[in-house]
Amino acid sequence: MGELMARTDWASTPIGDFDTWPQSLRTALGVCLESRFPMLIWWGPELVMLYNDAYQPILGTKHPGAMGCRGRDAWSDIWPVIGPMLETVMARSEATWSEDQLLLMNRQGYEEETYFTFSYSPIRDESGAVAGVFTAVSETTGRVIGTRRLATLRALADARAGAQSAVEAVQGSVAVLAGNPDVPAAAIHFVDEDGRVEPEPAAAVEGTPDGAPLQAVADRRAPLEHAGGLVLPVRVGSDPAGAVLVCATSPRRALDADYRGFLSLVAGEIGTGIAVATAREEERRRREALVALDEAKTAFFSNVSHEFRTPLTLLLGPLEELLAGAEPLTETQRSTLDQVRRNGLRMQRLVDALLDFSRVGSGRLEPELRALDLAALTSELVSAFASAATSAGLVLTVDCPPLPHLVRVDPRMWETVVLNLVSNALKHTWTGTVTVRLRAETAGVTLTVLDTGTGIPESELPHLFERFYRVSGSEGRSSEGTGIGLALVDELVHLHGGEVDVASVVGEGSRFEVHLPYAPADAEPELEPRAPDERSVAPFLAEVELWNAPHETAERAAGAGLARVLIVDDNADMRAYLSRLLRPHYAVGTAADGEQALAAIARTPPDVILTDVMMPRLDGVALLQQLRSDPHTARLPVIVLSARAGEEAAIEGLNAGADDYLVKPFTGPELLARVRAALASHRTHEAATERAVSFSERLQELAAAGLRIATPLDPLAVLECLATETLALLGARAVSTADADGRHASAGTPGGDGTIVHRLALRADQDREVGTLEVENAGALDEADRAVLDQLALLGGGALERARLHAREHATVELLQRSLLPQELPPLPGVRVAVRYLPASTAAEVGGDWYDVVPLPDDRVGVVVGDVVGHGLGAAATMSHLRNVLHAYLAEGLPPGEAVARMHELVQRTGDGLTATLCCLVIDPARDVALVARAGHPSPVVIPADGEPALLGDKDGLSPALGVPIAPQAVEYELPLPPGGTLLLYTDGLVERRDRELHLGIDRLLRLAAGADADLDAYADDIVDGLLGDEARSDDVALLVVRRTGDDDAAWELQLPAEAESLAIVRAGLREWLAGHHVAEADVDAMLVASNEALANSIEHAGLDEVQQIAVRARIAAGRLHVTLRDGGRWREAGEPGMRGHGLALMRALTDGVVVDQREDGTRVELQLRLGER
Amino acid sequence: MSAEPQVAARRAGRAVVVTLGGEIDRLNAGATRERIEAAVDNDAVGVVVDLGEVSYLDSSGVHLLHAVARALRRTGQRLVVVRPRRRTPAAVLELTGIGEIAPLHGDVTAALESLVGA
Repeated sequence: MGELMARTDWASTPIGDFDTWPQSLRTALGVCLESRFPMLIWWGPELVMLYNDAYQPILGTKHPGAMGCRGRDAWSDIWPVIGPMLETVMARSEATWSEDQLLLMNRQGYEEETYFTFSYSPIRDESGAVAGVFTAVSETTGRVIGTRRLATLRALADARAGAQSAVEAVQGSVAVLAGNPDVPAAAIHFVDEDGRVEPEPAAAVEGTPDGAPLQAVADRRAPLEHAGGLVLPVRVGSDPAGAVLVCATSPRRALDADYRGFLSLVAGEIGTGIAVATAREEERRRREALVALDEAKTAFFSNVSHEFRTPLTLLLGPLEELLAGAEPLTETQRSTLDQVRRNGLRMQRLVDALLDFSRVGSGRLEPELRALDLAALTSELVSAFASAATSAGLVLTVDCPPLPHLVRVDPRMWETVVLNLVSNALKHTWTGTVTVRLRAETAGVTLTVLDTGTGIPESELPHLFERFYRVSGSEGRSSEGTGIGLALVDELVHLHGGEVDVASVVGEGSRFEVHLPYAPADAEPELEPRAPDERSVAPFLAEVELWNAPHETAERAAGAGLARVLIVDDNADMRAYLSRLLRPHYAVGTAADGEQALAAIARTPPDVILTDVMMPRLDGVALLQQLRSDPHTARLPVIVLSARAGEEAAIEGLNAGADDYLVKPFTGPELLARVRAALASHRTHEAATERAVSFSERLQELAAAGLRIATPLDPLAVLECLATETLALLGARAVSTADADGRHASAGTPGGDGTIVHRLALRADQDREVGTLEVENAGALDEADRAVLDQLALLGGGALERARLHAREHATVELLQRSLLPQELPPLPGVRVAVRYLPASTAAEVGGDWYDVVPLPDDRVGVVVGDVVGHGLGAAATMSHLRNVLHAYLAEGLPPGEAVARMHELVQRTGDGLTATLCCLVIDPARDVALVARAGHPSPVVIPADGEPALLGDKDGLSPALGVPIAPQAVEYELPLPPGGTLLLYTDGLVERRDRELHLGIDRLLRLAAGADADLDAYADDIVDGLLGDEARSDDVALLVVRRTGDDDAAWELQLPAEAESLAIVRAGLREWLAGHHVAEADVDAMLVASNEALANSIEHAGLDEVQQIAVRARIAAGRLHVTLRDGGRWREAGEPGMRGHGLALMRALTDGVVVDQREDGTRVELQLRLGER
Repeated sequence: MSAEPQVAARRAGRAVVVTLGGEIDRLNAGATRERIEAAVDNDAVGVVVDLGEVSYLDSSGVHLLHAVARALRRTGQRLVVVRPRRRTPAAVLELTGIGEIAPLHGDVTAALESLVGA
């Protein structure tokens, strides 16, 4: 600048010749020229400009003409703004300060949007008057525009939060863009599946340039300039051009690398927005489908229950009439009818429970709340069990004192709650007491049902209130149960705003507690205390009574082998005779009189009894009467043998309840025929009862099977489960299942005589078939089997559809996750990186882990790994947002500590309860360090070139996880990282496993890290294999291996004089070094020629002065060979032989890049060659 | 490496054959050119420059051929070049368009035929 000052003809300027300048100007000018900050002096009334070197870039093409020029001439473009400001300073002697002042200046040949922060301060001359203005100025254009662009990128990420579809997403994006002057207009066109761009934009801002080369951009997948704007491909998921973005660009900004970079980030954000919204749309459709399936299931239960109710009512009504009616009944008839009634009521209870349950499930069951005296209602309900408890040998304690407040309940639901809990307690208690207690608490009431029963294992407690869950191996009075009762209790209590707790110890008993809130204090009783509804209590009572009198006939029928006949006769010869007759066909037992017979029957119940009439102690008629009066034996077939002939005896015998009557003497065949007939008739009778019982059992089994079929999330597992359940439920020979995608499963053994194959379609809805169900059965199916099979097909179809949707979601999330991570890492100088990313094994867990590698100026490299807490689409979307923002921060030049502090601010401001961890580092090869900042993330492992793996200290660069409310501050740790040093960055999925403590995983990682391999990929694989093996992953895993490559192992350098003798030396040395690095001969030859030309040129320049040194440096990084030559010579202008002739042509022809950088102190030539492509 | 080039010249009928060897670069290109020009008799119809055994050739080698061709043209003589057998020097010749100033041949016999037999 001094030279320019000296050259300027000051005499011709308004401030006159240099010699005439006042001391004040000279002093100010001295300060100005010495400074490295841009400074400027406006001098004299004409405000003549004098400025320093640092000010020169601000002037652009106005330099050097502006030196000594009048301000209004040099800065005519911005004079309207700064002119008045300067005048004010001159006139009033007041300093001014302007921050980020917008100035539209023309210094590059166009009107440019620029921002400056500057101060104007007066300079006084020797007389004390203001003679000039001193200006310190800094250009803030880059920062202002960078901040604005970053805000737009953030807003784009924020805008997609609510988008429900791709169209909404792009409309939201375009609306955001409209707010940034860098994108004065924009339009987004979707690209269809065939790669054709839709001519109409999905969203647009008016003023978008017409006729953009949409198809060309989509085809080439690269941006094109058009009509003062840029057209860019938009990557959507794995599709590099899923949409096309047309942007008008600001005429006031050059479309430079920054601007293009910004627009490509915009396109990236838009693509992410489309992908996320599309996935969200998909997820919503899936959810709707699931809701529909659930409704279908509920409707199924509801329909089944209704279908049963009508016949049950028609069955039970007449039965009650019969039992209560005028017609006298025999004891046998009464007992039989009672048994039918009990089982009928049991079935009614089951059906009612199913119906209630389906209503709760579908949200159709609204409690009709009434404020009432709960104590009265409860004690009434429990009292109904008093006599049943007594006959079971239990003490039932009712402890329900009056309560201080009314409680609002639905009386019918409360009945269900109490009846279920009490009958449950009775069922599982063999001896001791069942206590029902109602107590007032501060906020409400607590009903406690306490028993001294068998108790529930701790492992079963968490599932107790699940639908269709039955405690396995429980030792209750009955093994029967729906698995609905407690689930229903839980649902009903929740409908009342209450809660159910359970505590239990095996062998000691259980305690169920129901907590309900009080009604408002001023509530009036809405219902008089009343007796419980007989119809609701009866089924429970009937069931309790049934447990007290288990029917052993069913159990006996299960016993294999021959039917048992008991012979009762006091004549031993007769016993022997009858035994001889029957033994070939039956298992025969004998008794000498009625009492012996009762004892034998109690030990082993027979199938048929043959009894004499006349016997000591207890005769035949008395035995009959006792047998008939005992429900266990009431229906046991008895054939009376008598020596007395005649009608009367027969009538007496039959009246006493005998099934048949045989007069002695009788023949052997006659006896056998009678016994066979009695057995057959009994079996028919028994079977009819059993069928009624088995039908209700079948229903329960079907419901339980339905639940098991609906559980798996994998289509194949559904098919397998459906096959197994169908086989078990129908007792079929073989079952095979298949879905529309070709998956199939089977159970049982196909083939055999008389096999009939039944084929059913599995449907997702009425007209969409998703699979088939084939059953091979020995013979035809009866109607009941057919009905069960239909229901299984219905359940299977629904379950299969659900699993298929789920599988598709897994694929979607994984695809999205992968598409959001960098597809390939950029080539990096000084650093090598290997990455492993493994998504979790199950869909629900995928997502949230991310990493990024950001090349930065001066060969620095940013490396980031992070983990968003949570999984699925939401986490993937958040992750993408965080990644983009952090990428932008690092690219903006923020050091990691400050970047992470800003991430804290961002997440606290917009995170909405989000928690995330990350580890961010910037490697600076020039200083051999890495700056590390962590937010709640596990420490990277550091492996020095010749040292042991170690973790950072607990506090090194660590701040809390993102989302923790703290005052963010930059925390950063400087880690020495000389060449050869290796860092491992990872997410916790690598070291954390459910069955292993965290520190064990980290110890293992440190051990594996010690085997640092020169081959980074093999090293990364060894670590992943060593920690994870082949096991299913419950979480995503990301691992980055980062190694500083040193000058030692991948670079070659030589200093030599600028003489022609050096050429051959360099060729030989370079050839040897390249061969040592296994560079292919064709590459070696090409680079030798090219570098020789460059060197020859350097020698030519340098040769003019005294002998100079030339530095030649070669390095290999990221698959590229770089050769750099530096010399102290001057660049030769065009026309000289050498570089401009064949030399440069050869260099260009033989390499992939030639950069000639001429500076004042010399010339640098860089040659670049992609290896392995020749 | 020395500044002395490997040059051998012989008379072949009405033509002169100059055989070059080793590496030709800026260091020895000037000397090589002098040796070639000295080997060409005034009565020869032209020169065959045999580069078959040259292991390295840079742009100064190309310049030297251009210079020789120019000098021969002034005396009405012609230059014919035998292509280096090694790939890289051959590529350098082709990339710099030597064919425009001198025909290229695969061996000395073919080169002589094109010069003398024409």
